[in-house]
Amino acid sequence: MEESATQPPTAATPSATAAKLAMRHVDFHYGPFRALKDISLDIHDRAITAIIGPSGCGKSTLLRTFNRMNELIPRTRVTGDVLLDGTGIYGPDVDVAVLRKRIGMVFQRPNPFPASIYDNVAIGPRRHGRKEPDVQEIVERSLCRAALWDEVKDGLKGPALALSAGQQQLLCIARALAVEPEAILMDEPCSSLDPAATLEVEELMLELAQEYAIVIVTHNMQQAARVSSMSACMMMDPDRAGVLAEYDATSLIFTNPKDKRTEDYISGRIG
Amino acid sequence: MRMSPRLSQNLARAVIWASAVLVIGLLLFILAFILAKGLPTLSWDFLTQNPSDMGRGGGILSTIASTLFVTLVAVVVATPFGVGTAFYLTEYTREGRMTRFIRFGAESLAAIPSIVYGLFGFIFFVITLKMGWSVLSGGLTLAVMILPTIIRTSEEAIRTVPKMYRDVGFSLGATKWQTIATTVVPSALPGIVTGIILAIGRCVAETAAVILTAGSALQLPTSLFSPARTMAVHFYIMAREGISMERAYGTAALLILLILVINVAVNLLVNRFVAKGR
Repeated sequence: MEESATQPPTAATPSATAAKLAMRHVDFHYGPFRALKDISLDIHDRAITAIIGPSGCGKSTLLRTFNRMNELIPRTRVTGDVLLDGTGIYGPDVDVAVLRKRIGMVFQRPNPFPASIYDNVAIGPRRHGRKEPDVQEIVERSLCRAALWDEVKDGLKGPALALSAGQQQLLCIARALAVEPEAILMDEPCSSLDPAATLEVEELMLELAQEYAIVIVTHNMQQAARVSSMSACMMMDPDRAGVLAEYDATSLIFTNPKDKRTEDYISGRIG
Repeated sequence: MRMSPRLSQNLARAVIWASAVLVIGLLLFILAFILAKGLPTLSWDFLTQNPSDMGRGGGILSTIASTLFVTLVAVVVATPFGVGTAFYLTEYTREGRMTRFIRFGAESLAAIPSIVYGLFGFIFFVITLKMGWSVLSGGLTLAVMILPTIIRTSEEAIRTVPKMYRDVGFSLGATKWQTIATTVVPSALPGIVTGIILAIGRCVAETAAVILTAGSALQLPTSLFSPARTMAVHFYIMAREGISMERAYGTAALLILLILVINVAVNLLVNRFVAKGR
């Protein structure tokens, strides 16, 4: 397999040549079990990177290694380097809370808190010490960014759980944007949405990719092909560890995969 | 011969209905019985005067005050420790020998008869710590007694908060404490408060633990160190010593009404709090 990880995507902006996030020879262990083996890749800024691959090959684990969410699980261990703007994020002097503020996350299922729409978006800024006139502005801006403002502006005090699933997921994206992150991790953000809501979220992702580095885990090949400029295809080794089979521009991965396993997966023979 | 499905279905329904009706009926009967016997005694004077002549005359003001004071001390002392322990067990430590030990301890405490708490409180608070028969001794004894209730109910409430909320909290760059304070606590609060209400109920109704620690003085308690006779102790003594059955019933009726009022009030409070987000 060729070392193609540092190639910029085809339609990249100039700044995309610098890696926003990167991994160098990363291994990840759950107790004695090695879930990730020797992963190295660069995530470009202002672009969408899709992580694809069969179930259980470590896609979510890889994603959660970027914002250190894995360490909420007992007895996990990371070796190798994970870099944000070239600086290691697992160093001893890294403040995890600050790191997670810089790297936002959207989860598989829409999960607003049982509070008002406004409070859901305001929770991040408030925690980071913003006061009310500021917070109000951030909430409005974030909801606008998440393409939800027009639908909810007259009912900001209404309960978030009364929104549709698609709207709830947009709200969760607004909640993540409100802490003003630099990169956004999305863990199968559309897997519980209907096609129309999926389309809305995808459009939003393309929009956000003009400003943020976005990493999305997806089971949906078409989705990866539609939204991402780079694709990382993961596979499971015989010892069940997740490895990076191929990482390249999405257009190349889907038309001319170099790795046999990638080809089999994309054409539907495995997975 | 096997019973037809239809027959067994009807039979099951009849048995389940009957047990429900029996239980609810019994409860209502007890309630009605005590209220019928006690309510005629209740009057403004009964509520606002202190007892006289060992309880044969006067009202029960001092026992109402004693009940409230002793319960207040117990709840104020036990709530932070109990809720704190629950958060420690659920959020700040992993399952292990230590958590099993604490849980086992709490469960054992819950199973001890209240008279044993009374004896402990008498020896420890009243004698050893020289607090005497007082609101403080009684309150502290009750605090120890209700601790397991508060720990268990709080723990259950905290456990039902979806793990997802915590993940979101962390992913927004919150520290552990911020995540707990702003996402776990609000979701768990109704359950925690329910536990505290249960605990209040136990305090208000307790006799054995209180009679040995707060005493049975009839004066209005004026400080934490005053001896006190709670309502439950009052009607126990009134009935046992045959002083006045009708006043015993009057006190019991008021006690029931008091518990009812506390439950309804706290429920309203919690519902209002929860409703904000729903």
